[in-house]
Amino acid sequence: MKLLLPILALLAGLLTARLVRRYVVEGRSMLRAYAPGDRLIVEALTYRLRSPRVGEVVVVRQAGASGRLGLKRIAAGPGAQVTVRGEEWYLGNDEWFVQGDNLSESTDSRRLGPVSRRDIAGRVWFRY
Amino acid sequence: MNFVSPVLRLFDRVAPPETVSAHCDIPCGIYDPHAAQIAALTVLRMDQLIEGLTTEGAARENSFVRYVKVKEEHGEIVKRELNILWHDYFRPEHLEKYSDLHTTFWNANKLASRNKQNVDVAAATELLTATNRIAEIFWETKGVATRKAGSNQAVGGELVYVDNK
Repeated sequence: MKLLLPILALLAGLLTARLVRRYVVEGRSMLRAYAPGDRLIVEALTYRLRSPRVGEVVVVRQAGASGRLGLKRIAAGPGAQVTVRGEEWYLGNDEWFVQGDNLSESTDSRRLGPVSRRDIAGRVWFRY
Repeated sequence: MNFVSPVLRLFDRVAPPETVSAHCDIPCGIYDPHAAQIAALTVLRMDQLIEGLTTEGAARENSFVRYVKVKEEHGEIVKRELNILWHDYFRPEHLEKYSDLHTTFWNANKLASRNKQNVDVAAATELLTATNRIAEIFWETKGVATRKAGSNQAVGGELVYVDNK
């Protein structure tokens, strides 16, 4: 419990600086990892220091989705061969292929194409 | 991070978090009112269980808290599932045929809130009726026949089902 105050102060600081943000999940495309109504802390620090990694869950702005923020998992990164709308595609230097875990109920890079790092708002840190 | 969650939840009460979409409303077109109906049925069942509590002491308190928790959660599920239909499925052309559609959804949402605020079997029955009515409208817009039948659950009540005959 000695850590409580410092951790809370750190969180409050990060929230104020908008380096971490609070989100609530809507929809089923990330089931079973994340269910509708789950509350998440998403941080924007990690990707300032390093590239995204396959398997990480991120908040992305997806083209063609009216600019709405989506919750997806990074399925492939630069150099990987993927299929977008039935066509083979090699991911470029700043192209990331994101998918929902619940593949049958997800709109993602399979249809919308890859996202760039600029479109990744942050990485899911923890659920609260 | 268990001790952090309550504080963050408190933040959420003051300033709600942003919504991040994990909903596939672009190509999948999968909508179904059944989740809202089942959640409404659950709210009704919780009211019945709360009113039927007979034990005393800690056991009663424990059961009471559990029932209220589930009632609260399923009241919220009703609202969420109905709102997905309202916002994402229904379109302006549906309003031409169902001119009171907005009022229907609005009232159902308010009813769901009322059920969260109270223990009221009559209000829960009303909520079930409201979700059934929305299910009827939903399936009608898809040209699918429906029928009313008993839920076949301990709670009783009727549900609107797709009639595949």
